[in-house]
Formats: sequence, structure tokens, C-alpha cells
Amino acid sequence: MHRYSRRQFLKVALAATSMQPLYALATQLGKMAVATDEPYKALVVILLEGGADVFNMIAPTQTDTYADYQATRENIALPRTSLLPFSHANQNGLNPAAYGMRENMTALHNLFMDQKLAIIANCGTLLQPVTRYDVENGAPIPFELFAHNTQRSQWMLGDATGSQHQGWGARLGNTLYSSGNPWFNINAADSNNLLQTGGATDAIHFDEPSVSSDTMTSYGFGPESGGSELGKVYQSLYKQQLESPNKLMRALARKRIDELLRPNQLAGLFDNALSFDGFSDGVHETGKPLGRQLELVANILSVRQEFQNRFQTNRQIFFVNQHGWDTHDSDNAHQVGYLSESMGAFQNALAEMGMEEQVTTLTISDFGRSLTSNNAGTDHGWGGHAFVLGGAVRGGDIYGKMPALRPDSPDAWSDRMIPTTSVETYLATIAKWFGLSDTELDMVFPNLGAFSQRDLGFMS
Amino acid sequence: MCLFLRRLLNGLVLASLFSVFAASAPGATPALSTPPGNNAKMFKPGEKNADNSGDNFRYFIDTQRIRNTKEASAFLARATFGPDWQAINHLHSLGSYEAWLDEQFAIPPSLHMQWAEDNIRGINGTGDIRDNPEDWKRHADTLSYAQRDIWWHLATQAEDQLRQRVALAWSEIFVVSRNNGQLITQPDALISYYDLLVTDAFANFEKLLQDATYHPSMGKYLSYLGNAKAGTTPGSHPDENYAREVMQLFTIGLYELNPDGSLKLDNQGNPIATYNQNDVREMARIFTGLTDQNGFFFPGDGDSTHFSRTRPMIAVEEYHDRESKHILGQTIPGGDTRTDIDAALHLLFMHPNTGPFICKQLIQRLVTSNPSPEYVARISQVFNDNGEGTRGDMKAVISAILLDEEAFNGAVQQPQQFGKFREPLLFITHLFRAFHAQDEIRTLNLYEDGPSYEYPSYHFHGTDFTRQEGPLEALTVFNYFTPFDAPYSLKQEGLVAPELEIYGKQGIDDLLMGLITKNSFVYETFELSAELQLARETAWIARGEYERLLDELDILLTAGQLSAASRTAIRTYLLQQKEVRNSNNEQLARYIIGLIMTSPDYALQR
Repeated sequence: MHRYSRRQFLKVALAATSMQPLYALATQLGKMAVATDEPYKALVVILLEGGADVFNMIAPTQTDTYADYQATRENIALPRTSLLPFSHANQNGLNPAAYGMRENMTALHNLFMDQKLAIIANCGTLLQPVTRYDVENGAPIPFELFAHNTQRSQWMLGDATGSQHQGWGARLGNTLYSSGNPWFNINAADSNNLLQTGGATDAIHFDEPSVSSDTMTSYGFGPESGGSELGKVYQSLYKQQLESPNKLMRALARKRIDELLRPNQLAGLFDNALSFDGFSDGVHETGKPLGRQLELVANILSVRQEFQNRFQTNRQIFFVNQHGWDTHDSDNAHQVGYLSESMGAFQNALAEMGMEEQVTTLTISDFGRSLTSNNAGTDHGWGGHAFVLGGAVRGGDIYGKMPALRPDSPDAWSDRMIPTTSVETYLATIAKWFGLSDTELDMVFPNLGAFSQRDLGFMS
Repeated sequence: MCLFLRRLLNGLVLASLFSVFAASAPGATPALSTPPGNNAKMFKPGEKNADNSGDNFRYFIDTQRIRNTKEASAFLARATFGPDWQAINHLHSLGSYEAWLDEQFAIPPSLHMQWAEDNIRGINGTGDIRDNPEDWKRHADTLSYAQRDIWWHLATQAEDQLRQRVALAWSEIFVVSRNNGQLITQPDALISYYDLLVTDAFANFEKLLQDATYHPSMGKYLSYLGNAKAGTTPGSHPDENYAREVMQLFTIGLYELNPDGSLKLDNQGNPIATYNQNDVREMARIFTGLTDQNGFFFPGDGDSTHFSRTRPMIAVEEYHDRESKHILGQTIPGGDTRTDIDAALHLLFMHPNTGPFICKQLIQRLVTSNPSPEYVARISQVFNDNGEGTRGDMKAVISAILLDEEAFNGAVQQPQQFGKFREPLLFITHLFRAFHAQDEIRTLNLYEDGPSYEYPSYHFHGTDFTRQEGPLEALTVFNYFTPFDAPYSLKQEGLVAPELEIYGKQGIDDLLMGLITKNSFVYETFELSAELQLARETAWIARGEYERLLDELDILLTAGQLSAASRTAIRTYLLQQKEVRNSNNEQLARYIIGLIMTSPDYALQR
């Protein structure tokens, strides 16, 4: 650890207490589909909550394509000269050569140039491949397009058919760990999420990179508040309700008992956690700032070995959430800039730990947004671009087909893009890198077979 | 009490039911051999009542008689911010729930803005807020705390408890939040919006829908303030935000519903969408032309004023789309802004989904997370017709929700699923009310050279306290939780537990325990003023009247739902502490109250 000496080590309040119960638990963990000696890999999912206007994050810059873009976006079109220009490898030969990123995306632009960032073009919820003609003639499309909650749910389920009720993160966990591993899905956001819900075990939620004992056995019940004697009674009240006839009561009791056990299981875990520079609070962010959430993920990743030793977690999924993307009445410049800065800081943290190859970061959102403006902002759309970042990513390229941004676009239904890449194809490409076999991919994404492409090729 | 309820009470079916329920002692095994749903005379969703009297299928308990204090306490937990003994005794002395509702309906609303103007005094050179209304914006970050303080004060102390409690429920359906670029600096806009919910808490639903729609806070929150017709800038289309959410969240929901709240299904067994994207586009054209009264159409073109932040929006007709619109299979001919909007809102108000969609959520907010379809159907029926031919009479709907037999007997009849988890806010209001927390005149002053105000306050205004729940503080228009939220284990059983969604790690147990035990960390760090009055409880402990203490607390706090095992565990602790360790009596009272209020028995309100 001395090579990290320039960094501060986090101090943990209740370090190095007894750990026996947790090793007992660890030995009961289920068989893994991925051999435990395989190198560690993690996914970090960033939800851009509210529907990101990605068409003002990536814009075409050739004379003809920019003219189309400008004609469509009108008063919200970004000046061409303001864009950070890039060309891409264009291995699939589908897309015009020249694009630009929004001017405040310097960090992501640099990562793209460094070939660590890939753009997945026009991705979205689908039941089967459809064109504008198909849609206008009644071909099957996902239910309740354009509604936040249903579309976000379909992204988090990795399925738009209605057949799945567990999130795709939970299903990956069920596949990799046959009887569940509670430490596989880590929620570092400030709210619950469907993506990690429904597995053999619930996602673990972290607020900070430390293990304080449950305050109901310490601070709240500190000496002046009754102490551990009172804490024992408190715990017994929850234990006895595990047998309650009321199912809601049982659900609460189970949740609480699990939480009460956790500090013991985690004691000392963060003793050698690293702290990082470069993450910021943003400005007036809604909810917990994304930078702080990603910093927390980096803190946790810095003790991955300790996690692995205890819980056999050589695969983990982390979830974070950037609120505030539902920009009906404004441009999303602020969200874009803060996202770019935060993802840049996170990648720097991974580089410091030498973990770039092992961690892949990906974005998901409710939907893309309308091409045309409502004067001030944009409305709910369908397809949108996604971003994948990491050392294992074949970056510097656009995968899938960029839609034509024209008022009469053949890729649009009215002014909402019809996805040309399915959520399933996007996620299956990443899940394959994560270690799933073809058979397992079809299990986890049951509608994957409806699409000709199973692997977009952006993961090495 | 309104006429329809009186008529109901005379119904024959009701009389026979009363005898059944009267026979079942509270807490005992129910005397009912068949649940009400199996009763032959039970209302079936979609079925027209044969004798056309319209009412006698509904189940109300004997509203002339209050069975016992446990039942009264449970009722007050649903209808107020939590009972204290005075409230329980007062209800008991009134003799009937009806009389209590009558009394509550008659109390004038406690308006939050009025309270601010009457009570918030500027000091040290700062002017009074009532004389300097623009200070609401100028000193927005300071006065944002006042907005919360006022809420805590009135939730805890206002006489119009039912109204304030229902306003909170409305604020979780008609969501507006400070988490918005404009509203975050406009606490008066939020207070004014909340007052609208307080004022309209018992109004006709259509009026509430209209008033919320025209309020500039909603206009800003869902971005239709300054929404212009298509092509105002080349290629632009009207903002679809409100058009969608007014349908999805405020009136009809995503799927067609039966009157009992269950989904209608098509031939393939799939849910049927209530609207499509074309409806949203057409509806978006309706909500064009509105802006606030600051003299500019587009937001940002001028500074807002207190007046423009708190008065209804007005129309600027040149920005309104006057062409005809086709919405949900109907045509709105097209006229001026107000005519179009009122017509569209009326269409939504009359939609058959609106009753079950709204009523089920109100039941969930007040009574139980998983009401039986029969319960929802009974309330929808009242929404559709209050017995006097009026649709949307919320006074009748709220009465019916609170007086329904399932509200009173659910704990016994549906032991596997009855109840709802208390919201974080409601734990604290109940604590403050039950033990008469004393607030004090406190100074609000964020910055050394910033404005200073004085007013009675608990100084309990940080969102962190209540884990992301506060008055008008949801992260999105989907509220702190949705009506469909549940842990997976419950979802598999077809059950929901919405409030559990915001029980982060530890729920609010640690905060609650800190407040109750007067933990110096909680009180000193946050400089709270919320002294609890515990003389009675302390005296019982001093006199060794332990059973009395537990009996009273069980009624006051858990409405008799403290399990036998919990009670035994708490009693054992009490005896041990008292007899063995000779603990301080008042501190011991705090521990006992803390154990009850942090117990799962309490968290699940039944």
C-alpha cells in the first residue's frame, strides 16, 4: 500500500472488530459461474434520470449533416464552432466521419480521443427491429413509450416485453452466483433502483465508505440513550416480527435485521480504503451529487481485494444516479458538463488504482428526447445515445447507426428517434465481457434473440 | 355531516352489518365467518345497484358509537398528524366519528402564508416579511428554512388537523417540489401552492385540479408556464410535460381501470393504455398560452414578484393554440386558453378512471397500502356520486375512506396485509403531538450579515432529518415513492409497500430515538426546540404502574397494535432497569417510548 502513500487513508470509526460471523457467512455463498481465480471485473451503471438530451451532447459537424441538425433543433442547436470536434474509427462504416461533443465535455472528449470511451448510437427499448414504416403501420413497439417510469423500468429490466420483473443487474447476480451473493449488487445512489432489485439477495446500499456500527446499537442508543441494553431489546422486537402473520411487517423486519447484521460483516472492510481528488459537488445538484456517488464507488473499489477475500466477489455491479435530466424548460448544459467532469474524475481514480481494464462504466437513461424544441427545452423521446467507458472498451468509435437528424428523418417517428440498437444488444455486449456465456445471455435477456446483433463489438 | 352519510346509516344492510361488527370485540378473532367481499349484497365492480337506492351496499361502521379508545386512536392516526390523549378523549366525548368529521370540516383553514405574515418578525434591522414580500426571493435561502418550520408548526399544532393531513396527501399526488431551478429560490411560491392544497383539501376534485393547474408553481415545476403554441420559434412544438403528467399522475393513470382499481384487460389479457402519444401531443396544445402575472410571457424575461409567484397564471392569447384538439376520442373545439384548459380538465375529471385512480391513492396515503378491490370500489362510487348527484365531492370521499368498515376492521380481517408504513414525517409529527413538544421563539439567521427573523419554531428544518422527505421536497414528480413500490418479496405476493421505499438504512429510528431520549448530539448539534412533556409517564414509572404505562402508550402510539411479544420484551426491560438499576424515572420513560416508536409494530400503521 505504500505506493499510495501520497493519498490519505480513510479513518474508520469502528475498525478491526471481530469478524467471525462473516467468514461463516462467506463460506455459505453459492457456487460461482465465474471461477474465483479470474480477475476482478466490475460494472458501474450511471442512470441519467429523466431522459438525457444526447442529441446536444453529440452533434454532426459536416456541412450537410450540421445543416440538417441545425434545421431540426433550431433555437437549441449548438453553434458548430463551439463543438469539440472528433472523428471516429468508423469500423462499421455506417456513420459520417465528423462529429463534435458539447464544449463542456472536455473530459469525455479526451477519453474518446484516448480510445477509452465508445458511443453507442441511438439505443433504446424495442420488441423487435422496427423502421419508421413499421411503426406507422402498427408493428409491435414497447408499451407506454415516452413515460418516464415505464421506460426507465424497461431499461432497468433489460426487457420491454413485460416478461421480466427482476432488474438485469439482479438477474446477472443470479446467474453468476447460483444461490445469490449479497455483495454483488452495490447501490451507491441516493435511491433504490429496479436494476438491482429482485435477485436472490437484495442490493447493498452504501452512503459512505465506512462501516459505522448501526446507530441503533451505538449513537442513537449511546450511553445517554440507553446503550446496548436498549439496543438488544430493539433488535429483539424486529427479530420476533420475522414471524409476523403480516407480510408487510415481515418485509420490514427482514430488511432491518439484515441491516443490523451488516456492520459486523463489514467491520474493518474500509480500513485501507483510499480517498481521491477530483470529485466535486457540482452546483445545486438535485439529490446526492453524482461526483460524490462515483467517489464512493472508487472508495469501495479500492478495497475490492478485501471484498473478494471475504465474499468471493470477483464480479460486482455498482449503481449511481444523476438526477435532473428531464429538461423540458431548459438546455441540459449543466448536467452534461457535470457528468463529463464526474466520469473523468472517476476514470482518473481507476487509473490511479490500476483498475481501468477491470471496470467498465456505462450510461443508461429513461429515453432520448425530442429532436425539436418546445421553445425552451425538449420533450420525452425514445432512442438515444449511450456512453461506455473503460480500459476494456474499444473506444474512439461510434457503434450502431447514427440517426439522420432531419425534420423528415427516416429514423424518426415524428420528431422522436426510433432506436436502431436494442437495449438488449447493448447490455448483452457488456454482459458477455462480464463473463456470461451465450446461453446465459439468452437467459438473462430473453428477448435478445429478436435482434440480429448480439454483440456490438465495443468490448475487447 | 352530509346528508348522504345520514341516509347510509339508515340502510337495512348497514343495520345488519352493525350487529355483526358490534359482536366482534376489538383484538379478538373476528366474528365474521365470511368476509364482506363474499356477502351476497356486496357491491360488485361494474354492477349497478338493483334497487337504485345507490347507497346501501356500502359498509360503514356504526358511526354513532366509538367502540373504544384503541379504535379512536387508530382513526386519528389516519385522519391527523397523530393523536394525543386530548384528541382521543375529545373524539370519544363527541361520541361519533361523524361528529368529529363535521367539526373538522367546519374549522377554517390554517394557511401557511398567513401564519408567516402573522408570526415571522424581522429583527436586527431586517423588516417583517409581511411588509417586505419581495424578501421571500431576496432572502430565499434563509426563508426556505422558514417554509419548513411553518409546516412543522402547523402540522403539529394547527386545529384543522384533517385538512392539513389531507393536504399532505394531496402534495404527494399533485407533486410540486423545491427541487426545481426556479422554485428553489421561491419559498413563497411553494407556500402559496401548499396553501392551495390546504384550501382545496375538501373541495370538489375538479376545482382542486383547476387550481393546481393554474398555479404558477405547477406551471414552473412542469414547465408549461410560458408554453407557446407550435412554431413560435421555427420548428418548435408545445411543451408536453404537463400534458403527460396531468393524465399519468394527476387524473387517469396509464391503464384503464375497473371501478375497484383493478386493471381492465384486452382479449389477449394485456392492460389497455388510457392514452397514446397523439393524445399527449394534442393535450400539449391545450396547455399553451399560460404565464404568471409579471408582465412577460416567457419565463426569465422578467423578474418575478411575490404577486406573480402566488397568484394564478393568466393567459396571453397570442401564444395559445386556438385550433380544435382531439383528445381521448373527443374533440375540444378550440377557443381561448381558459376555455380550452377547463374543457380538457373537465374531460379528465369525468373520465371513469379518475375515481378509482385517485381514491386508491388516497386510501393508500391515509389507511392501508393494499386496500381490497371492494374498498376501492366503494370509495370510487362515492367519488362518482356523493349520494346527491355530485361527482368529485372530496369531503364525501375522505369521509367514506375514513369511515369504511375496512379501515376499522382491516387489522382483524386482513391480518396478512393490512396497514401502511408511516412516512418519516409522520413519525415525528406524532411524537411532537403525543408528548406536546414545546417550541420556542427562535432566531433564523443563516449568515452573520444576513437577514434575521424570529418566530415560534422547533428549529427542525433540515431535510437530512427526515431522510429526503419534507414538505414539497420530492426529487421528481413521481413523489418520494410511487403507489406501486414494494420490495421484491412483496411484489411477488402482489402487494405494495410504497413508504418502505424511503426507509433508507435504519429508517428514521436513530433520529427518533435521539429526539425521544433527548440525545445531546441530536439536540445540541441541530439546536432543536422540542421539549417533550413526559410528566404522566414519569409518574407511572415512579409509582410502579408499569401495566398502566404500557396500556396507555399502546393506545396512544400503536392504537393497540403492540404485539404481545413486543410488550413482554419491553416490560422485561422496564422491570430490569427499574428494579435492578434504579434508573432515572423520566429517562426510563423516554427509553420505553423510544422502544415503542422505533418498533416495527409502530412503523406499520394499522
